[in-house]
Parts: sequence; C-alpha cells; structure tokens
Amino acid sequence: MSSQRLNLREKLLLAALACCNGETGKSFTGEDLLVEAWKQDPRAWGLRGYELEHPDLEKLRKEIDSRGKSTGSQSLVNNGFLAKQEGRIYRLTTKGLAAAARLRQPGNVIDLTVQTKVGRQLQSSIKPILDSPVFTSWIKNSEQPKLFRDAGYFWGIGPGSPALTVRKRVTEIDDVLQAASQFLKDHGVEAIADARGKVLFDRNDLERCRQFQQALKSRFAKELATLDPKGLGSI
Amino acid sequence: MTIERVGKIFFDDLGTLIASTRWISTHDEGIAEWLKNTRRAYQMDRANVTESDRICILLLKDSDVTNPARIGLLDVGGATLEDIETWSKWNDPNASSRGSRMMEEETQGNGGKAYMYSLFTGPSRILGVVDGNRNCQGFDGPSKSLDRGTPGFMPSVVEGREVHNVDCESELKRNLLFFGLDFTDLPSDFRKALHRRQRFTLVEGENPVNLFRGNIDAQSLIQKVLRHDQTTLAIQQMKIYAIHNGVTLNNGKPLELETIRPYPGLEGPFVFPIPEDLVDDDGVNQSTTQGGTKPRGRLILSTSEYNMPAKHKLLRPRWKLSYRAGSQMLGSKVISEIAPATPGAEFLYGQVELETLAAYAHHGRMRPKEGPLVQAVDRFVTEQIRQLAKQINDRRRHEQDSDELDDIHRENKILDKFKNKFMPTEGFGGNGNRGSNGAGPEVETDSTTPSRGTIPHVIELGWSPDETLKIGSGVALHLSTILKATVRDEMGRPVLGVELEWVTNNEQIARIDSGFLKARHRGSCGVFARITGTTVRSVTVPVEVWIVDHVLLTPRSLQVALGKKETITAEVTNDQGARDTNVYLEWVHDADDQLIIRMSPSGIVFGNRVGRTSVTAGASGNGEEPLWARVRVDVEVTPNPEAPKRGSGFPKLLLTDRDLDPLTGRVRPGSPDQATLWQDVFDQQNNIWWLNLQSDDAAFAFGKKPADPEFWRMFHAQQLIEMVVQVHMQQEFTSKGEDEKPDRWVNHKQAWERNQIGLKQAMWEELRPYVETGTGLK
Repeated sequence: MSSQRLNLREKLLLAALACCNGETGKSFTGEDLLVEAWKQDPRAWGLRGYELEHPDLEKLRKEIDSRGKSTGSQSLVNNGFLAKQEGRIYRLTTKGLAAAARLRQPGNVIDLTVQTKVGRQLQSSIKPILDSPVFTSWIKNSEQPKLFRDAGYFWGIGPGSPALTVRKRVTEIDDVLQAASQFLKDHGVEAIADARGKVLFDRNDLERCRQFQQALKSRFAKELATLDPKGLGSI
Repeated sequence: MTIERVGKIFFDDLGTLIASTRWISTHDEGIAEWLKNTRRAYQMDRANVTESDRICILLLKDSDVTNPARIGLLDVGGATLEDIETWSKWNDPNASSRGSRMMEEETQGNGGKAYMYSLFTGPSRILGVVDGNRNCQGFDGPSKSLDRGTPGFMPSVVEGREVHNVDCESELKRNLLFFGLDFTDLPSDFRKALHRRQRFTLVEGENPVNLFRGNIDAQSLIQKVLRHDQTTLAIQQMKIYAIHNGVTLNNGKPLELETIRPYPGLEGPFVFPIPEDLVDDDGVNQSTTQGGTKPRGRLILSTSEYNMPAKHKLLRPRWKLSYRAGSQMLGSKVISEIAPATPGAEFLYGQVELETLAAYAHHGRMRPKEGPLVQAVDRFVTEQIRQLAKQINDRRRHEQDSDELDDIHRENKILDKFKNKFMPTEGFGGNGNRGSNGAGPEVETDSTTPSRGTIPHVIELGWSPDETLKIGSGVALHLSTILKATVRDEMGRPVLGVELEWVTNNEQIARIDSGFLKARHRGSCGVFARITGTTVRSVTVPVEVWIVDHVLLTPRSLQVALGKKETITAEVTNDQGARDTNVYLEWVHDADDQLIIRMSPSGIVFGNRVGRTSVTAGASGNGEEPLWARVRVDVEVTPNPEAPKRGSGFPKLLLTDRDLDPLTGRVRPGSPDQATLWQDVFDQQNNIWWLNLQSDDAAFAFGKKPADPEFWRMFHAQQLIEMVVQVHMQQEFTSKGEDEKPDRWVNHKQAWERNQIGLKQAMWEELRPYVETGTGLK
C-alpha cells in the first residue's frame, strides 16, 4: 500500500493502526509509533540527513502533542484520534480507528479485517448508549431525563468532575456517533453487519443516539457550561 | 536487558513429579494410556508386530487372603533394554516415537508411568522379554514420594537388567501366577502370537487405589476404558482381551464398544466435508488446511435410536464429539456444549477429523485447546448438528387429528373442573392464571368478595378506555390476555365460566377470530366484549393499527435469571414518522429450543431455561411485507441461585396443542422431550400442569382414541389423578415453609402412596362411569 499522498498526521494514524493491530484497547509507546511510522515511510519520519538510518523523535512529538501550540491546528491527541494513557503511552480511539481505516485502500484482505474490526469497535462504543436505562427512558418519554443527575450518569460525570473529563466524556460520544455515521456513508450502506451477517448497528440507531445526545446537551447546557466553562460552555 | 546466569535451571523434584502425574486420576484413564502405548509399540518403526499378532490382554485380579489386587496389561511387543531405559525418563515426549519420523499418535511421555506412580500403592513395573533377554524396571515406595517416582531395576540391577537365557513362556507363566492364571488360561490367538514372536511386555501394578474392599468393578472399568477417547485407535487396531479373576470377559471374545443402533430412518453416518475456510467467533476467517498445505477434514455425525443423555450408563458417556488430527486423538466435548438447547441433538454423536487441529493438542488430551480454529470448527459442527437434529425432531412429532383434539379439549375442561373438588382446602388463593408470586398475566379477583356470582351484570376490563391499544399491522393479539376481562354480577362478585364474544366496529381495520384481534390495515377502530344473548357489554377500547416502518430494540443485550422476567423496549416508527414504545408486535427468537424464553406481545421476556437466544420483533410494513427489527437483542438466561418461587394460583390442567399459554397468549405446542404431565418454571409459578400430547405415551393413547375412546379416557383420567396427587404432595411439603428439608425417600414414598390411595379411590368412584361411557361427570 502506498502512503505517498497522505500528510504526516494521516501517515501517523496508519502507523498507529499497525501498532495496535486495529484494537483500540491495545496501547503502544511513542517510540513504537515512531519506529512503525519510520518503517512505513523513512523519508517522512527519518532524521534529517540520516533518513534511512534513524527516525526523528522530534517530528513525532510535533504531530502527536504540540502541533496546536504553534500552528493553531490540533494534534492527534487533541483531535481525539489518539488517547494519551500515561507518559508517552497512547492508544487509538474509536474515532482514530475509523479515520485510519478510511485511509487504507479497500480490497485487500488486511483492509477487510480492519473494516470488520472498525465495525465491531464502533458497535461496542454505540451499544452502551443503546443499553443505557437513560436512553430507554428517553425513547419511552422524550421529556426524560429531567434531572442532570440522570444525564450525568449516562455521560459518566458528576458535579465534581474536572472540566477536561467532562469535555472528554461528552465529546467522545459525539466523536463515536460521527465516526459511525461517516463509516456508513463511506461504505454506502444503511447498516453494518459482522462477517456472519449479524447486524451490529444501523443508521436509525445512530440517528436516535444523536438526537438523544443532542437533547441532553441542550437540556443541560447550563450545567455543562458550569462544569466546563472554557470547553462545552463556550460552544 | 543483560543477565549473567550462574547455574542451570532448577526444579523441585517432588513438586515437578506430582505436577507431571496428577492429570491421571482414575484407572480408566491410566489403562487407556497403557493401551495407547501398546498400540504405538506395535507399529512398524518400533516392535513391528504383524497385524494378526496385534493382541493384548488386560489382566485384573481382586485381592484375596494372600495377594493384593493387581492390574496389568500384557502384550507381545517385547520391551527391550532401550525401551525400558527410555521408559524410566520422566517428561520425555519422544518416549514413544524415539525420533522416528513416522506420523503417529503422540503419547504424553508420562501417561503410563504417571498411572503406575499415582494409582498403585504397591510396586508397579514394566517387564520385557525379547530374544531371551529379560529387563524389568519399576516404582516402589510410599505414595506421592520422590522415592516412589525414582525408577529402578527390579528386584536389582543384576536380576532386572539384561538377564540372558530367559525362556519367554516360562517367564510369562511365572508372572501370570500373581494373577491366578496359567498360560493355558490366555486366549489361544494370544498364545499363538506369543509362540511366534517369543517376546512379551507386561506392565502391572499391585494394590490399585480406590477399590472397594480390594474388588475391581471389572465391567464398569472396561466400559469406561473402551469409551475413553485415548482408547479409540487401540480398539480399532488391536484385539484387546480382558481377564478378571481367571475368567475371560465378553465370553472369551475381544472387547468392543457396544454398537449404537441408529435412529430409524436416519441411519447415517453422515459425513460432512469441512470447508477450507471457516469463520471464528470474532468473524475472522480461519483456514482449516493451513492455506492448502494440509488435507481437508471431515465431520462424521452418527445417530442413536435412543436419547443418549437419558441412557445414563450406556449412552450418556458416548454423547460427545471427538476430535482427531491424523492419528492424534485430541479429546472430546459433550454435544450439549457444542449445540446447547437443541431439541433432537440428544440423538447425535460424532467425530471431527482434521489434521490442522494437531496444534490444539492439550496435555492429557481430554479436550482440544481453545483457539480460533477450534471455535470456527465448532461453529461449523453446531450448524450441522442443528440441521440434523431438526430432522430428528420433526420425525418425533406426532401428527394429530384436529377434530379429535377439539374433542379431548372439551373433555379436559370437564375433567379439570371435576378435579377441583379434590383439591386441598387451603393454600390456593389465586385464579388459575397467576399465583401470588407468579409472573403470568393477572386476572384479578376481589378478595373482599369471597363468593361468586351467577348472573352477569357487567364486563370489566383491566384496560383504561382512555388508553389506545396500538398494534402493528398483521399482528394477532389474544384479547382476553391483553384486556383482562372480568364478568361481575350486580353485587360485584365475579361470575366464572362465561363465554365472551369480542367485537370490532371496523373489520377493515381489525378483525376478530377465535378471541384473537388481527390487525389488518392502517387506521383506527374500537373493540369491546359482550355476552351473547344479553345486553351486557364492556366499554369500547380504541385501537390503532400501525404500518411499521422501523423497530428499534433496547437494550441490545439482556440477562434474565431463570424464573425471572425482564423487558425489551421496542420503539416503533410508523410509515408516517410517528414513534411509540407501546405498540404490540410479533416477537420471535431464534433458539432451536423455543422454550428457553417465553415472550409476551409487549416485550416481556421470561427466563424459562438456561441458554442463549436472539430476539427480534416486528409486524407488517408497507405492502404487507414483514418488517422486523434489523438489530436483534441477545438474551441469555442465567442460572438462578434462588429457587423459583412456587405460585399459589388454583391448579389447572391444560392441554398442549390447544390451550393458550397465559404468558404468551399463544397455544402451547407439545414436546416429545417433556414429561406427560409437564411443568416448566413458569408453569410451576402459576400452578399449571400441561397434559403433553406429544409425549410418547400420550401420543400413543391419543392415536388409539378413534377406535377405542375408552382407552384414551382411561389414560386421561389417570393423568388427572396423578396431577391431583402431585398437587397434594406439593401442598403437604411446601406448606412446611422453612421447616422443609431433605427427607428420606421412604418418607416421600409413603406420603405419595397415602395421597394416591386416598385420592384415587375417591376420584375413581366418579371417574369410572365417565371412562366407560364418556359421560357422567358434573
């Protein structure tokens, strides 16, 4: 597969995909990621003048963590494609996995396996939304939930949650739903099924989840703004 | 990372020895290992025994006043000094192959030795005579000790290692004395083989553990050995005799597995080639031929005339799927593990033959290691078992004449009413549909009005007239179950046994058929109940029929404890974009055993049996095409540590294939795999007994009915008495509450007989004229 036309961030996403073998639960170090990216494209990730001999860690840092500081564009972590676990240990998020899968050329066996994994990963991210009792109570009566406590239970946040956590939990759901919608769009299908034909989720699921998330966000906008004034409160 | 090692790897000798030997825990496992070793020793790269001489004898002797019990295996392989010295090494996987490249069944390198070390308290040894040379090594010493696990020549190096000029037959005769045998007691073909080869091997042990008073239950032991997976090839390739206390078993003939008679009409065996690519549980393709480098495998399924798990001693141990990779037996799994809750699978067993599975051999070879390829193969096997099981199940169902069914349905109602006067006088506060703790639909009775009325005055519905009954197009609902109608007299007392007629005011929208409301076309109408010939009628309930455009089910996975219920919410979107979660739909699930769960039309799931299934709901969409929820709900019924509570509804005898199941509002189909008087968990909670017309005896009696109605009535009456006795027994024992405790069988038996005698006499007095004439019961 050629990655000549991709930009650095896209190349890095593909390297992250290779590092975790399409599993979002599998973490990897920054060094793993750099070496993988360098193996895939030594000219892009090599140390200047020694491109074929040594990878350049500085280039990686710029794309992963610090790009936003100088250019205004967001890094892979800030964009929600990679999650930083601790130190320089990362994992690919569902959004990152879906984006990386889109970059691959369809048709070969590896890509089909990746697509299957993406479908399953998206389903496992969407399923908790559909399984949530808060969601069930909302589809039974759209005026529910009336208390922020219930919405907070759904998002996994509370009055004492740090602003970053609040932002992360809420936007993660938006990201997953967007990634799943994009996935359906890319494949031109109404539903995603596994290799045995079992339907994992369909467009209607996503639409209802999106409406639910939107309803919660607008109903509890004040509370979210209080908890995260610079992030969710500024939207 | 750098490391400087200063010595060799160390193991604790005794700990390692015990860890290496504890996987053999029974004599049948140990003897199976011996047989496997003998079979391997006979191969051409080892002793090269001709096919006609491939014979061995299992020697068993109980203890007596002078000698301890003893178990041995005698063959004509002839262990050499090299064999004996190789044998003495623990954990040597090359022990049986000796570096040969022949593709052969692998042994553990420990199996036979582990048996001799662990399951005998006296000396155990291997003795070989070849070309006049005698070698003997063995174990002796206290159980589980290092001493015992350290082999040595027996009785000494001088007398046990390469002793020359030994006469083969004389040496054997001398050793047979310990088994109370003479050379002439051995089967003649073994004697001839020995005479030709002039060599033998005897492995034996004294004082086998776990014997009752030193006696070997030879029949049982041999059956277990023969059924053991590791014995499969040995039985196929050798003649195996068994001698117990001087008597050659099986009438002097070689041992063989008893033949399983196949299921009539499906004799088989059925051979299915295993596809080159299969999908595992994660949906990933697995090559069954390692990319074409290994041959394709096959699945062989055989049928049994009898329900295998039900034949506990003979067939249950063989109700399994064995795995074989070339000449390696990898172990087996019980069929219920491969195809759980599959009616008809009780009549199937089989074998997978696939070389690629060799990598999944597990220590002890009780079952193959878990892994993606095994998962994928199991999925394939499950599918084949399900298809074959369905054929068997279809054959087992008895066709029944509809008119005759109607006839006995009427009779059953009469008998059910008749039995009420023989019910216990206390303890039943319910109404025959739902006990106080039950899960069925509630048909309420007013506990403040103890007596019953006779003249209907009003029909009350358990449904608010302000509430619209929404139903998907094409769905049929049993109205009495949904709307919960009760007839009362002027005093508000319930009037029982009144037939209600349900009426719709627009048959284009919804039609009534035999008490079922069938939704036809989009629109609104009303339904009400009335009593024919009177002006008594209920209020009208508004009905809306929806053309379904989409169904969303939530949650997507559900765990229900056995005997409990949970709800699946179905959000229906109709063809005009309206949404609602209170629309009645058709609910189905895809388990072969349809009794795993029971479902109500409103999405209540009742856990009836432990198992898994996947549920969907739907109705007719535009153009009357069925439209089901695209994404199904995975339901798992889990064991419930709390025993399901028994309900206190008034006991009822219902008839399968005619009466409605109070939870589902649908006719309960009979099942050939259930008892004649059948109660599932839900039925126990609701005090319902089903006369199962698909059980073999009921079907037989039913078949006789047209020509001999008396015969059927006799059978029917007996079942009724049996049910009444069970009710009394239940009442007697459960009324003890917390004092109820396990009791001796004889006490139960006495209570049973006491109830039976008392009730049968009283009931039979009135039943007899009914059985003789078909009339006479009030």
